[in-house]
Order: sequence, then C-alpha cells, then structure tokens
Amino acid sequence: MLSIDFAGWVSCRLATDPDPFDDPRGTLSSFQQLAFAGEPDLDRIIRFHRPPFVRSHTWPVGVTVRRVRNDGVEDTTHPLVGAEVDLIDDPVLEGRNGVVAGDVREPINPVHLQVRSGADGVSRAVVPRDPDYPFPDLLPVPGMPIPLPQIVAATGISGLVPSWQERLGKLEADLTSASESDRPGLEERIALLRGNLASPSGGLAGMFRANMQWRLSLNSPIQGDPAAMFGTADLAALDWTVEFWFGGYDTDAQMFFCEGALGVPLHGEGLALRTQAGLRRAMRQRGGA
Amino acid sequence: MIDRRDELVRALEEACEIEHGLMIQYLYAALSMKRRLDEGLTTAQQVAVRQWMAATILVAREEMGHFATVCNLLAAIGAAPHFARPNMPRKTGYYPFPFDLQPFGDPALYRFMVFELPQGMPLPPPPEADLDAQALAASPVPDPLDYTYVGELYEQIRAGFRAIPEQDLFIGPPSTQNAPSQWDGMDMRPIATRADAEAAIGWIVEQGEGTPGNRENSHYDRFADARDAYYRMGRFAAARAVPVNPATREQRDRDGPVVLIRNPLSLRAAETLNAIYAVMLSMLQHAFSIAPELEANAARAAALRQALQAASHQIMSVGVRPLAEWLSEQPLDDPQEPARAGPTFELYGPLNLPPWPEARWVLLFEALDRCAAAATELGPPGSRPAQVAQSLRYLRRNLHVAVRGRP
Repeated sequence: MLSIDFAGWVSCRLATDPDPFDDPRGTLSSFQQLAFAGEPDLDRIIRFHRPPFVRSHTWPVGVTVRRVRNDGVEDTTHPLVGAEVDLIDDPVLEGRNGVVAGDVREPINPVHLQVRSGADGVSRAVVPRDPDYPFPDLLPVPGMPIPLPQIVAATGISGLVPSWQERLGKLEADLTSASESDRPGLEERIALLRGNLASPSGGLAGMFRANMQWRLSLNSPIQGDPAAMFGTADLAALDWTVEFWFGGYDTDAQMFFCEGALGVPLHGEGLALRTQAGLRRAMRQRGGA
Repeated sequence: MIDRRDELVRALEEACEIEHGLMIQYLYAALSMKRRLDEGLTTAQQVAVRQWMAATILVAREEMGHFATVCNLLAAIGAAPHFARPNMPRKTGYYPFPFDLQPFGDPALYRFMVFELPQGMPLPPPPEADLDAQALAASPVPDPLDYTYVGELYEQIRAGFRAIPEQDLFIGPPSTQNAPSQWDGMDMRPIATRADAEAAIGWIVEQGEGTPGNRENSHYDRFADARDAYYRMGRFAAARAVPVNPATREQRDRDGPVVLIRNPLSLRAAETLNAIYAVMLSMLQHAFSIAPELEANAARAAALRQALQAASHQIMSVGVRPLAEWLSEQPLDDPQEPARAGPTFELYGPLNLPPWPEARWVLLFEALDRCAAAATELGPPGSRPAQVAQSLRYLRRNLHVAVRGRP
C-alpha cells in the first residue's frame, strides 16, 4: 500500500440554517456565516487551494502531501512530499437545509481527489451507485470521531480563542486606516469576534472541536499517469481509498482544517482489499501506522 | 364578547389568518431587498439592509411560531387548524387594517409598526407618501369581532378562554398539537389547560407588542429601530424595484388593485412559487390533522407527522425563500425596464385535505412533481430555480421513503 498523507487549511464559504443553503449572502445563519459588506457572495465550494477570496489575518489555505509511506515505511525523499492534494470539480457540503442531511452530517458532492505536482496530476473519484441520488455513498462517518487532541496536534492550535483575540487586535488596527467602503465589513467582522469572545465559552470559537470524517472508496477510472506520479509501476488495479477529516472549524475565517490519507494499493494486497472488511482493516492499519 | 366555543373558534381562525397574513407581508418586504453592491448599495447600506432583512425574517419566523401556537389552541378545543386566508390586497371590511404586499421602505415599516402597535400607544408618525393612513387609523368593524390592533383580538380570545368552563373546553387530543422539538426548535406552545392557553396568548402578545414597561426586542420595537435607522441613513432605496401587490392573475377575493406580472418567465416563476407555498401549507395542514390515522397505528402516524413537519419547514428554506428572492430580480414585464416582479403568495383555491389518508399522499406527491418540473424550466442547471427543483425532488424522495418505505 502506498499511503499518501495530506493536511492543510481549506476554505468553504457557505450559508447555514435557517438561511437557504444557497443563500448568496446569509441573513440569520446560526454559525454567523455571512458575506460581510464588500465581500463576494457565498458559493459553498470546498476549496483546498487558491480560493478567490479569503478574509484577512486568517490561515494559509492549501492542502499538501506531508508524508509518503510504502508498505508502512516512510519515504522522506519521495517526490510527492509537498505536492498539492485537491478536491476538484467544485465540491460542496450538500445538506440542503436538512433535506439531504443535517448539520455536521453532510455528504461532500462530488468527491474527486487529485494529487498534483507542477503540471502533472492524477485523480480519481467516487462513482456513486445512484447518480440521481449520490449522497449515501458520500456521507461522513456518523458522529464526531476525531478527538480534540488530534485536531490540536494537526493544526498546531490549542483553540481559537487566542487566535481570535490576536486577530481582533489586528482588525482593530486595520480599522484605523480603512477606507470608507472597507470600514463596514471590517466592523462586522470585529463585532463577530468581539461578540463571541465576550461569551465565557468563546461562542463560535468552540466550533474548533467540531469535525466530520469520511472513509471513501475512489472507484472511477484513473485520470493521469499514476505510475509516473507515484513513482512506482507496482500499482494494483483496485479502488483507491481515502480517509480524511475536516475539523478545527474557524467560523470567522470560513475555513476548516483537513487531514487525511490516500491509500493506493500495490500488487499483492488486492485480495484483502476486495471486501469492505478488508478495506476497513487496511484503513485501521494505516491510521495506526 | 366571546363566551361560547364556536365564537372562540371563529376568533382563533381570524387570529390564524392574521398571523399568516403578517408573516407573508414581512417575508415580501424582506425577500425583495437589495443585497449586492452592484444593485447600487454602498457597503454601509449593505450592512444596514442585511440587519433589516434579518430583523424582518426573524419576526416572520416568530409569526410562524404564533401561527402554529394558535393552531394548537384550536386543536386543544377540538377544532381544525386554519390555513386559509384571503389573497392580498385586503383593503377594508375584512380586517380592521389593510393587508398589502409592500416592498421594504417607510410605508412598509410604518404598517408593520401599526400591526404590532402596543395597546394605548399612539400611532407612529405616518410616512410622507404612499399610504392611506386614514384607513389604518379608522377601524371599520363589519365583523362581530371588534378590535383595532392584533393585541386586542388576543385579549378577547383570552377572555373567551376564561369565560368557557375549562372542563368543557379542552376536548382535542393532545397528539394533534405540535411542539418546538418537532419544528427544528421554533418557539411554539402546546396547550392542555386554560393556564397553558392564557400563557400562550400572553407570549404571543408580548412578543409582538412587548410589555407595558418593557418593549425591548418586541416586534414593534424591532420595526421601530429599523425605521429609525432607515431615516438616519437617508431613506435610500433598500428594496428592489418590485411593485405593491404583485399578482399572477385577477382573483375574486381581492378588494384592491394589483400589478399583474406580464413577463412570461417571471409569471411562470411566480406561479411555481405559489404552488410550492400551497404544498407547504398542505403539509402543515396534514401534519396538524393526521389524528385519524393515530387510531390505526400510533407509531406510524407519529413518524409520518415528523416527516411532514420536517418537510414543511425545509421547503421554506429550499423552495419558498430562494425562489421568492430570485423572483424579486426578474422582470415584471419588459426585461429592459427597471420594474421587477416579486413573490405574490397567492392561493388559487381553498386548502382542503381529503379525508382519505392515502389520497392525501397521492395529491402531495403529484403536487411536488408538478412543482419540481415547473422549477426545472425556470433556469439552467446550477441556477437557483434549478437548485429549488433538485431540492424538491430530494424532499419528495424523503417523504416517499417515510410513507412507502422506499424511494
């Protein structure tokens, strides 16, 4: 098994209940997910790289390969280390105000994972059994399986309150020199941070611990040249597996952290992976490696 | 004076129509507001508009909770929920104040404050134009119910609950009522006793008017704050160029002029929205009156009620609101002209549910199919109408699974 571990901050600007899921600016969002004055419309798209808009003083967006292991042995010189991992084709968290799924239970639609290095890339998608209702094959694992210490370790942040306090100070400083047209949006953000920080629990800063995890089988035809990309010709003609979580939700940044692993079966392990039990076993082994 | 069950039922039905009508008027104002800088807003105005929009939608949601609570009051005394209402405009002779679909602006804010006016409080200063203030100040009373403001109607209803012996009054099965836990946390009150009824009425009035010593955060107070801010900001054009009282057709139950939507696509969109709105009302009605099925299978009836309740509040977010807002950017007639259309919230006939449980589901699925098909034709894939169509299909699927056990 070639195991490609990835991590990084992800941008997603989406309206939340009770606003319509496709509300372009947000109105009453329970998570204060609004397009503040002067900001572009919300579009729900999960972006692993180069979002067209990010709020100031937030996290650097970008999900990259952090580690490559071949049958459990780390290859620190593997050329994929540092490569970009992406969810392409404009994926969204598809809850539709509970019609498809409730909060923190939303499927990602579509799931088309790409690993990219320079101009080269290789990708594979989940092909749902029912294209008219793909969601059962794209749902997260029920519950919130990622413990807080794992989110803290992955993000390097103990919690959002200190970050928001620091960010608030920078925004207040920005306000002193802001243009007339920039001031209203800045003031909205400052009000959001002040309001939440005034709460004993930190208000929405507590969403840092919220998380969702997916375990999916990538079963579409492969796009690109995986042998060249992964540096091995020993690839088995089997589904790839991807396991990742979103957590560390920063509602002011409109970002969350992603950490996961792509599993690419090599020759000799095919039989074990042909069953769901084998797939789960392989995932557990990777998680414990 | 209300001192018999039939009089109390009639007063509560009128309260239902008023809460329903207020909700629609608030939604019309909120969902026709500008939102983007390319609509001529400054960033400061963008902030203000969202605050006014949020305040107005929040009040509309609370009116929905009042509406549901009044339906609970009806159910508690053995009467049916009441979802019918006359189409707008209703100028005189029906309610003691006119009901119109008005875009957000000073006339609308003035009207909203009058709707929620606390007893004993003088009328707010009238707007400078576009409102028949005399019709609002005067209160023609063609109906045995004699009231001028909403709070007065509720006081009479409260007196009715006190006048009728408690042991005779509460004959409705409690299972027909709805609780916040079943409605995504929306605030509403179940009714079992006279004390419950009086507390619920007090809550409705207080949320609308506030208490004599404290009006903070009442509906009246929120509209008053919005109007103050609107004046401070120079009364700019916060609403899109939607008309007063748009309509898809002439309807017999109106008593005032309407502005007909003549652009074919906008007309179809408004009709589609009205069909979705009617589906929402029929699901609410069904959820409130599912009781006959309880006798056969209580667990199944409870599951079906839950499915209907979920669908009826979801369809508001995935159908009514997005399509209404989208419609307020579509042309009223010639696309080159600035005038825009807007949601009309019309009912094309009475809202009667068949007494046969199976027929109710068939009618519902047929209506959802029609709505989804019509919404599909309104815009290309990815557009808001196309998203509405897709959501309606998913929502139908959920209901079908609940009813038939399969997609």
